[in-house]
Amino acid sequence: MPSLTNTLIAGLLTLGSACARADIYVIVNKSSPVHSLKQQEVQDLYMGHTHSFSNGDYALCFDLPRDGVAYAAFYRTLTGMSAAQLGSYWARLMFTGQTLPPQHLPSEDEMLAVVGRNPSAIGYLSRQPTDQNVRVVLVLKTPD
Amino acid sequence: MSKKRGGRNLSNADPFAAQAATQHRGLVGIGLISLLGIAASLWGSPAPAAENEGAVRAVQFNGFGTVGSLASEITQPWHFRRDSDQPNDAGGYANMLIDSRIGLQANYMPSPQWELLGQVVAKQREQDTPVSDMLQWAFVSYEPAADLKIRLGRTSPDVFLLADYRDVGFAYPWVRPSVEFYGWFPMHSIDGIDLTKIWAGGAATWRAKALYGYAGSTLPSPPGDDPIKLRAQDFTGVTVSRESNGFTAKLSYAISRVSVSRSAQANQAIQALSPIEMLAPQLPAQVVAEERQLVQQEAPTGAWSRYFGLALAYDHNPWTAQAEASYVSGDIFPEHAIRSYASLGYRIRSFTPFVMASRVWPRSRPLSAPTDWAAALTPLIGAPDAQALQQVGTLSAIDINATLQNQRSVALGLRWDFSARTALKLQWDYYHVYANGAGLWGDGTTAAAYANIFSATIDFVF
Repeated sequence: MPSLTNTLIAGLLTLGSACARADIYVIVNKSSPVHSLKQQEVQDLYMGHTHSFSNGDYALCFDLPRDGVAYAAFYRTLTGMSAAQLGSYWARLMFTGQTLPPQHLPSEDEMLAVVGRNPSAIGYLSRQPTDQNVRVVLVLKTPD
Repeated sequence: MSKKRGGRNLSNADPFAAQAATQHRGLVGIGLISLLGIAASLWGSPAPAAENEGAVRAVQFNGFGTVGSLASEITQPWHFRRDSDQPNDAGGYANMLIDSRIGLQANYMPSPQWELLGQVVAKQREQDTPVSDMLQWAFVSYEPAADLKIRLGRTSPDVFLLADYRDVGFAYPWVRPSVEFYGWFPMHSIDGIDLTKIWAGGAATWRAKALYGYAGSTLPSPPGDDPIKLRAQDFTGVTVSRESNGFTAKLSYAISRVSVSRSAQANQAIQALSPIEMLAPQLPAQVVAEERQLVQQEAPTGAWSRYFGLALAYDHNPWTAQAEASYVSGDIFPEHAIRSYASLGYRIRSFTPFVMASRVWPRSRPLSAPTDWAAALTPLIGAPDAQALQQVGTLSAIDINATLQNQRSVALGLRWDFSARTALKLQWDYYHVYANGAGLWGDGTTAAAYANIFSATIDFVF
């Protein structure tokens, strides 16, 4: 009996952590020479600090919808910033003519399709892609 | 800036005007030619290939705005202003015109290296301000390498931390940037060129920028007089900033030849004082020196001004802190000052309560009213005329002293981000203005005063 209880508890814990942990998969096109990225590199690209990968190739950043769960999880893990803080941050960069924010795509399906077609693209998804046209270069573990 | 004097007669008052105008047209011309060149090259270029999808961005429109109102309680009959280029009585209905504004921006990126950008800002300005001043940015930018950027056209006088986004309320916590620090700074954009170099040093990102150009501004004058034209020629600056882990430091230095046009009122005062110049050899040196100082301050022409700025900012949840200090030197009386502010905010979910303290210390001494002019002049021109000249000198000194800036303030406020693109801000400011320090206020005098300003704004981006 105790062993059954333990099994149940262990099962529930596993299930619980699986639900809370929504990993974010950062992807590039399969033909990109980039095979892995550090969190800092992804942050530099998505916060407009740089427009290119470390090998000098131009990087084209794509974003998910601002009101989505994946968007919030991605930026909270990457920068610790909320959607409102990001809005404020980009207002400064955009309206001073420094740089434009990443382009928003309407859905994860669209993200998969665009990155799959575009050798310079970088994007992110809330699920591990099975598509052969993209490559995962970083998995961001979101805080529980 | 010297709001008491109005402006006209640029041709005779300002020896640099003609040269500046030529230079100005030259730079605008270069900008236009570049724009035409890019447009022409795009005309013939094929549609972007599928693999370049997203690399060529269609024209993108974005905007920002503020709707706000304030209530003021001032112990003198002055008017609160946010910027020195607002009219003396800038409030409008329910004081809504002081902080309300709207900006619209268009970006076009024909390729990853090239960008065209234009931004217009509509806000309360002095009545006779040329419509072209609404054009905040209009430049072409080129990135020959990922870490190098050149911009040509109407860009920013980027010498202080908020110099190029003072109007974008959504980008900062307060209702408005520190009036003591930014309220006097009349340059909102410069026509010229800038060059930015970015490099990484360990975990930090370094940014160095050099800029050169011309800036102009229209400032208010007394009723019936023409507005004052301020010109900053050969505006040359260097800034270096370092950013790491939410910590930013920025150091800047700029110089410019600043001239202020003569108003009819200033011309009258200068003419009235001219007998002293004619009688100079027969007068005590002090009388002549005092007269020359008054004339110089009535309409400064082509004096070199120097701007030093140091900014520190820290933004790491839940804290946000910022402080700046500047020193401006030069022959222009009200400009010459030390300015600083410090601000601290703490984020609690979508609420950010904040405090800010500001101070401006003038480095120009108030002019004392001429004391012995009448005595020195009576033997030469007779008592009535000598008395009259004494009177002109006294009024002129009072007028100039009313443009000095000497005040401090504290602000307490709350920003509430009730959506990702809209924020409500409430703020209370308490100002203490010292005698001969009301230069930042509309219709300011030489008196001291206290003021309470209660403001509410909604800031948004779209």
